[in-house]
Order: sequence, then C-alpha cells, then structure tokens
Amino acid sequence: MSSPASPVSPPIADPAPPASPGEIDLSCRWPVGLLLFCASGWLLFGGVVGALAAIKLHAPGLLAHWPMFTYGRIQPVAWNAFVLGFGLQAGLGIALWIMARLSGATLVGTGSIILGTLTWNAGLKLGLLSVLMAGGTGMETLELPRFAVIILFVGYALIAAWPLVVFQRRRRGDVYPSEWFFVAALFSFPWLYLAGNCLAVWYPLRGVLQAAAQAWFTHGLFIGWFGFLTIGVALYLLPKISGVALPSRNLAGFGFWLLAVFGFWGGAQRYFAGPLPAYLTAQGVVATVLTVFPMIAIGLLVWPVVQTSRKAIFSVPAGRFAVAGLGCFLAWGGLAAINCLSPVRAITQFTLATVALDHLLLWGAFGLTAIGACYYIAPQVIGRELPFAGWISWHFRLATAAVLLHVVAFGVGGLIQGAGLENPDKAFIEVMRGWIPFAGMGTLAMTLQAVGGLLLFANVVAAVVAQARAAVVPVAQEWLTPSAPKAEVRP
Amino acid sequence: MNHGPLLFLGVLCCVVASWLGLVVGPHFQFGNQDLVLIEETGASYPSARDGLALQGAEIYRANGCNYCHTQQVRGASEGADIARGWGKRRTVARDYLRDRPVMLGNHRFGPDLANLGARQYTTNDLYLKLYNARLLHPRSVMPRYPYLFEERPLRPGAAPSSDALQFPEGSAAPANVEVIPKADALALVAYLQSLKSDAVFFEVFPPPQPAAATNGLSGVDTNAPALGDQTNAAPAAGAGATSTP
Ligand code: HEC
Repeated sequence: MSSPASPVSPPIADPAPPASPGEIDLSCRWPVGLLLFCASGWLLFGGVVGALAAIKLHAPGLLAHWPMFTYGRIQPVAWNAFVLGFGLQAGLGIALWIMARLSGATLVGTGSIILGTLTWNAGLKLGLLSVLMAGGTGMETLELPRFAVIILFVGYALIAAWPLVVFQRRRRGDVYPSEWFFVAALFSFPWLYLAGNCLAVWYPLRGVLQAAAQAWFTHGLFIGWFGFLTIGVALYLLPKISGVALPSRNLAGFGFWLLAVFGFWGGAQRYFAGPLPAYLTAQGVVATVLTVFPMIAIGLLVWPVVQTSRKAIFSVPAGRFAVAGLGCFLAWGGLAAINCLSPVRAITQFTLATVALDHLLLWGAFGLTAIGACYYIAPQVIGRELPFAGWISWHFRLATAAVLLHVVAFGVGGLIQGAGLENPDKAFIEVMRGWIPFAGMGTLAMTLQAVGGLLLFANVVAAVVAQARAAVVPVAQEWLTPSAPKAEVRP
Repeated sequence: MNHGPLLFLGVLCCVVASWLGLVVGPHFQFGNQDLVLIEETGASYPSARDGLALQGAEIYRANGCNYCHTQQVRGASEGADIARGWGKRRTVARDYLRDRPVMLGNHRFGPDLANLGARQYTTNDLYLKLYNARLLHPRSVMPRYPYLFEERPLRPGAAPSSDALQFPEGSAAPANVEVIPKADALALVAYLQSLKSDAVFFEVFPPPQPAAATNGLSGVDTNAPALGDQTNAAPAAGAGATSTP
C-alpha cells in the first residue's frame, strides 16, 4: 500500500513542462531573498535582545533607569522578535521557495511579496517600539498593540497568498508531504492570530477566558506554525540532500493528520490547578500526550533516510541543522508529554523548566531547522555561494551548543527551583538564589545564539553585496571607461 | 492527499474544532458568570478597583510584572502555594471577573501576588521593593524601578518631604537625596494593595476545614461546574455567602 515519497519524483505528463530550478530560483530571487535577509536580521536582533533580557534576569540593576529596557518589556520584545521577525519571515521565505521547487512552477506575485515583507517589517518594528514604550497588551505572545497587528495582517496577506497560488499551479502529479505541512501552517497562522487577538485582547472574553484564548493561541502557534514548518522543512531537506526517498507516504499522512487533530488542543495545561476549569487543563494534558504518536510517526519516517545516508547528510551544513532541529522537535514532543504528568508538573510548573521547553521548540527545533534551510536556500536565490563557508559550520556548533546549554541549564535549574518552591519551609529568597546560576548559563547560551546570528547575517549581507557588485561593476565600468575608442572604430 | 481544497478543509476543521472546544465552549459555559453578593457585608465580589488601582494595573501591565509574578493560587493538594502563605484558598475563575487584561502569569521568578494586598506590607515597604528590592533582600533579582520615583537632592537644613521613602536602618540608602514616589508608583502600589482573592463563597472553601461533606450547596450555580474544590466542601464555610441569581 504505502509508496515512498521523494522530493525529486518525476512530474506527470503535462502539457506545460515544469520550470527548471534555475528559472524558479531566479523568480524567487527578490521576494525570497528579502524574506530570508530580514529573517536573519531579526534572528540576530532576537539573539542580542534575548541575551540582554537573560542578563537582566540575574542582574536587575543593569540599565535600570531606562524604562524601555526593563525586564518586563525587553523579554516580550526578544520573544516577539524571534517569533514574528525570524519565525514568520523565515517560515514564509522557506515555504515559498520549497513550494515553488516542489511544484515545478515559477513564483508569481513578486511585487506583492516584497511589499508585504516591507509592510510586515514596518508593522513589527512599530509594534515592538510600542511595547518598549509601555504599549504592550500584557498577553504573552499577543503583546503587540492592535494597530501593529493590523499592519502585520496586511503584510501577511500580501505574502502568504502566493505560495498557495504556486501550489495551485503545480506541475507535479502528487503533492509531496512537505507541502501538506506548509499549506496547513499558512492557513493556521492567520486564523490563530486573528482569533487569539480578538478574544484575548481586542474584544476580550470575560476573566480567565482570556487566558484560555491566549493558551489556545500560543500552543496552536507552537504546533501549527513552528511544528509544521520544522517537519515540512526536514522532510524536504533530508531526502533532497541524501537522495533517499521517504519510506512511506501513508506514514507521513498519518503523522500529519494526527498532529493536526491533536496538536491544537493543547495549551491549557500551563494553567494546571489554576483558575481555569479542570477539564480544560485535562484536555491539554490528553492532547499533549497523544501528540507523541504523530511525533513517533515522523521519527519513523525520517529515521531510515538518516540511517542509510548519514555521511551524505552530515557533510552538508543544512543536513546537520535539519537533523538537529528535527531531533529537538521530537525531544520536545516527548518532554512536553512527560511534563504534563502530574508528579512532574507539580515541580516544573511556573519554573525555568517551562522556559526550557519553549526554548527547545522555538530556538531548537524551528530555529535550527530554519537556519539550516536559510543556508541551503540563500546561495541558490542570491545566485552565489556564501563567501564565508567556514562560518556556517561554526554557526552550527554555536547554535546547537547554545540550545543544549540553555535547555539543560534551565531544565536542571527549573527542577531545583520547583523542588524549592514546593518546600514551604524554604524561604522564597533562598529558592531564588538556588536558580540564579542557571539563569547565568542562559545568558551564555543566548550570547552564543547572538554570535551565531551575526555569522548568518554577515554571510548573507556579504553574499548580497558581492552579487550586487558583480552585477553593477561591469556595467559601471562600461559607462565610466571613455567611449572614444568606440567612436574611432566607425569609419 | 493530492487535493488542495481537501487539505485546506481538513486543517480548517482541526483548528476550528479546537477553538470551539477550548475557547468558545467554555465561554458559553461560564462566560456569563456573575459577581457574588457577600451577604454579611452587602458588597459584591470581586469588588471594583478604584481609579488609582485601575491605573496601577496599567503600570503593572506596561512594565511586564507578569513575566515574573503569577496571580494564581493552586489548591492545597496541587502545590505548596497555600502552605507558603500566598493565599487562604485556591483562586477560581470568579476572582478575575473584573480583570482586563487578566494577568495570571506563567513564571514564578518572584512570589505569587494574587493576595499581596492581604499580606503585612506597609506602603513604604512596597515602595522600597519597587525602588530597589536589594535594600530588603540582598541579591534579589526583582528589577529596580527607579524611574517610578523622583530622586531629589536634599537641601541642607530643609526638612525632608513627608512623602519621601523611609529607608530601613543600616540599608544602603542613597546619600543626600530624598526619593519621592511619582504618580505611577502611587498607582502601582494602590493596585498591589488591591490584590486580594480571599473572599469565601460557595465555590471555594478554605482547605483546613474537616470534610463533613453534605454537598448541600451543589446546584446553586449551574454555570460553574468543575471550578470548586469539591473534595473540600464544608457546609459551615459556605453559610455566609450566596450568589446573586
Ligand atoms: C525579573 C523578574 C521580576 C520582575 C519583572 C518583577 N519582579 Fe517582583 N519580585 C521578583 C523576585 C525574585 C522577588 C522576590 C525577592 C524580593 O522580594 O526582593 C520579587 C518580589 C516582589 C514583591 C514582594 C512580594 C512578597 O510577597 O514578598 C512585590 C510586591 C513585587 N515583587 C512586585 C513587582 C512589581 C509590581 C513588578 C512590576 C513593576 C515586579 N515585581 C516585577 C522578581 C521580579
């Protein structure tokens, strides 16, 4: 029954032959190039501000006289810069390019995508500035004020319509599994973000229902954007790099639908034993535990590919990034399920350990996979190799070390913190002193991430500059050289 | 799965179903919850905050205090919150009816504040905590908020302002300046002092009561199932409170 699935399977007979990769890359040059450029800029920014927030968690006196830089504003700015600046734009850029390649169709709507990207960045900058100026909404991940969110929606619509158009114009017989995940993510995000903003912020529901809406949104974003994209990218990159097809299309479908069915029901477990009705948190627990099954399916799907062509995959940076990212995602699924069980949750709730889990998903799973994809795609759309090839491996080392350090430090620190909080005889201030060293390690990890982000950004900028020079210099030289000899040729 | 529309519909169903189940359903179930009339005092609970405290809630939101402080107390069987003295009872949905936005918080880098107003803090203590928490607890990671205060040079001979912060003996008080809370600090402290979710009504009973469960009050309010700590139902505790229909 189950047929293998490969990103390079031949197209069906079609009156119009598929576009060549070169043509597709050329059509993607400006829109995808701009999205990835902006995304890498936000990755750097998110790393730097994240490091600043991490410092402020253990050095409260730093920049204390500046209201803009207080922890409660810097922290959401760092988070949103990563989620909306890097996460959304890298996701869109990668999905655009991979969908165009898989569809065998050139990208259309270039101008709209570029305009959308500029709009998105403007909205995000204004929104984050507003958070720094005391305008945050107080709802985690929904901090941006209404005007900024509306700008973001306009930008998103201008961009996200086009991958769907490309999908409709596909010249291949079958739809490759990555495309399911991308299409699902592209549809889920606007729905989640609109419903989340409406019910938690704009026309808030009564009382704790706002928190329910916020928890639903955040978890939906985790699965429906970050999870789907991580899987979609990994399912494309690994078979593509290794040349080994995914063993089973049906298994991929099974994983996809189970994740879609269970994934969106989680979230409320964050408020376990809090003021939300108990059945909501119980649903969150059940959903998170059931989400393990699609994770296993994805793992089984990818394992044979990695197993048979380890050398080929690990010889390419993007392959290493994708394996590490997917590994983080599966680890996140397992740990999130374990974290739901009541004896564990009783200790980890409200501690650094929950931060560690979120970090594992955002910076680990999605971050690593998407960074890898950027390194894979950027040279092709820019049209030249990234000039500092050695830096790419360094970025891989820095980023994986940072994720590992952050997750382990905050995980262990969170357990110590939680055990302390559960012991009422231990003064709160003593509990706090117990986890400060681990918060310090978080600062180190975020600094490594910032350095890694700088490597990516510098590489992309250098490639763009080199390409621009290659394009401009001959023309300029032609203009600048005196045209006298030409005139002499004429008799 | 080669059909775009099918894919789209399937995913839409998944997202919408979860939204209906997790957000819309609960809204219809207890979104119309109402204030409780406490008969002994004639006041309704949760009580309305005055204007200053409402402004303070905005300062709390704008400065992101909720990234380090929760405002939710778990039941005695679920954690040490009550043993730590963070509340007499668990918090329930009704406690937050007037909050906009609700700032439950997800992290306890600092203590829970759901009942801060019920704790033995003087206004001056709270100002000091905001001005520089390390004056009271060395190595505290509670951020400093000096921008909520005005640091005025002390003129020699002039009497210090009566509004100025009183620094504890032996603390590293700033020399030759007096520290006056600005309007934002006044509002924030008014808000902090208004944080109290300790009223006792039929949904919640203080846990130490012996369990003489008659459950006579079940069915008083069908809008709020699964909210109370049913195992702790003690009739005596509920006697003084009843709901407005
Ligand atoms: C970086 C995390 C952090 C942020 C942000 C933060 N706090 Fe704190 N807060 C703490 C820590 C840690 C303590 C415990 C140590 C102490 O009392 O100094 C604390 C203690 C307190 C206390 C004393 C509570 C008690 O029961 O003793 C109050 C009141 C307080 N914070 C209010 C605020 C307000 C208001 C804000 C926002 C303007 C805020 N905090 C922001 C970390 C934070």
